[in-house]
Amino acid sequence: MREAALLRSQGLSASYGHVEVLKPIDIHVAPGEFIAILGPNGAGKTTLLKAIMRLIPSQGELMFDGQSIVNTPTWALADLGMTLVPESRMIFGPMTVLENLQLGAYSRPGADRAAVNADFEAVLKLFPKLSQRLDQIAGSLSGGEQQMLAVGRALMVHPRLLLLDEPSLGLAPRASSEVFQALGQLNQQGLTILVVEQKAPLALSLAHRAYVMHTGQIIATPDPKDIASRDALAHLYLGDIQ
Amino acid sequence: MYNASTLLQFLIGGISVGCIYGLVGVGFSVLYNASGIINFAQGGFVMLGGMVTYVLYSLVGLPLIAAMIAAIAFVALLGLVIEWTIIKPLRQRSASVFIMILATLACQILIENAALHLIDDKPHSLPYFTPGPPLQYAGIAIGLQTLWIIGVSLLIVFLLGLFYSRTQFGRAMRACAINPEVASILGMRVERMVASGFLLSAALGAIGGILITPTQYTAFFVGVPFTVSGFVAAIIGGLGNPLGAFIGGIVLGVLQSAGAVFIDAGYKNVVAFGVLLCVLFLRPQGFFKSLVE
Ligand SMILES: Nc1ncnc2c1ncn2[C@@H]1O[C@H](COP(=O)(O)OP(=O)(O)O)[C@@H](O)[C@H]1O
Ligand SMILES: [Mg+2]
Repeated sequence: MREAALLRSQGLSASYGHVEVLKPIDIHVAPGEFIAILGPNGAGKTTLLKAIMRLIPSQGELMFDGQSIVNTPTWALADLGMTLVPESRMIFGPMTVLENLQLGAYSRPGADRAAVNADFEAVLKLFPKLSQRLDQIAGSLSGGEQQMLAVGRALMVHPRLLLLDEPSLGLAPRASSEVFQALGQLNQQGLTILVVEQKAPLALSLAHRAYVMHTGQIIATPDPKDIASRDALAHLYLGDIQ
Repeated sequence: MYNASTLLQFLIGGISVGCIYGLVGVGFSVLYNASGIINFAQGGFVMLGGMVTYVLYSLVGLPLIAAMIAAIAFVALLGLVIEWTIIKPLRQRSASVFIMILATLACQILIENAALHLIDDKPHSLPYFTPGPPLQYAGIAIGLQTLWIIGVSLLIVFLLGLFYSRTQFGRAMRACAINPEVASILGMRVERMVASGFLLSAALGAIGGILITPTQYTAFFVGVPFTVSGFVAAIIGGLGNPLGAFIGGIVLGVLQSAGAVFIDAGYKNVVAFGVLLCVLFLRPQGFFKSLVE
């Protein structure tokens, strides 16, 4: 069978010590898709992304572009075409905005200079706020600008699949919607996106498909276009708050 | 009781030896940045720089410049070997940084004993890089080797600054120090940065050892005092801040020189440890802004 998915996990599980934080998980992401993974705090969303990025040991199968990546070291994934915008942004705070963006292109060969420059221009076009702050220390940016920088830095990898961990975390509503608007544009230009979010409405407004995680498992795959399933999601969150 | 030119003479002496402490301190900081490890074998690299140059120049008969380059290459390679054979396996077993630091202390002892048994137990010197009488000016004499020490040290610190800010690899070394996990997500190989940190810091130590040997001497036992002074320099500068470490080295060199003038030449290490304790009590983060924090 020809593998149609760009990313596929089969029975992917992970533990911290004796606690199985990730029960066997099956997900797939097809080229061009925008996938949302929703779920309350502590559901295991970050752990899933870390397992996908080979940052933590895991069991089960994981395929990127038809090739197993279970034995691939994290650093080699950028070259294959996959990178992550980590939770709470994690920009290189003491370095300048420009240096952060330059480091995004670290794994690309020097011969790609023209392509790297094109991506750099594209990032500045997508986030014009960054272009006025290239020489500023990244740690001094506002939360929204830092998130733009984190996304921009990841785009400099020139990924085919972009993973994002709660890009709206700690951002003002306006900044979150700016970031998601950019993600929508990127997806329309052909970039495959897998985004983890707690703010369900924001993610569902753009997603083609969604997975809902709870206590380390996928418990639902709601249709983002279906209002009823949005309501069901709201109930799930309410249940979690109590 | 002291006239101005005597004091100035001591000041220059302090700056000169302080440059060497600075280079050793820069070595500490470079490696700390790359790995979080404090390498107590750093003084061993200083000693080997002088001793290996002595062997290649005086015993093998190579020209001085060739002997120096070969010695730097040898010591840098030794730094890599230590990383491969000792530090890397420890990292792979997720050993704590404390264990790795202890391992570097063991390396220092190994290096010292290897030099004692493979070379000898006598002090040795090297000729001045350029022969000639000291420059005389207003009652002060500045030896030509002093100019070499100050000039080469400044050049190295300048080049290191360019390396960290202008080259993609240098920037990546800083990034790995700030957040290794994110660095790896972007395609950087953190373990290579650690290896490069060992290579670079060993080379810096060797260069320091070669520069200072003509004005003093080298012997198998000179490493530990350099480890102490270099470590104090790095702490004054704020561990992980190479430029701060270099300035810290000069500060320490001048203070030691002042101690020798106003107290007694034998109080060198008392001054060094005194400064270390004062900094640790009063300002443990050092006096200069770190590249990382
Ligand atoms: N490093 C860790 N060590 C032990 N437990 C952890 C660690 N990181 C996360 N956990 C636990 O794993 C579970 C899932 O965490 P996480 O993946 O961060 O959830 P989410 O991203 O959905 O909020 C939580 O119960 C959390 O307490
Ligand atoms: Mg999370």
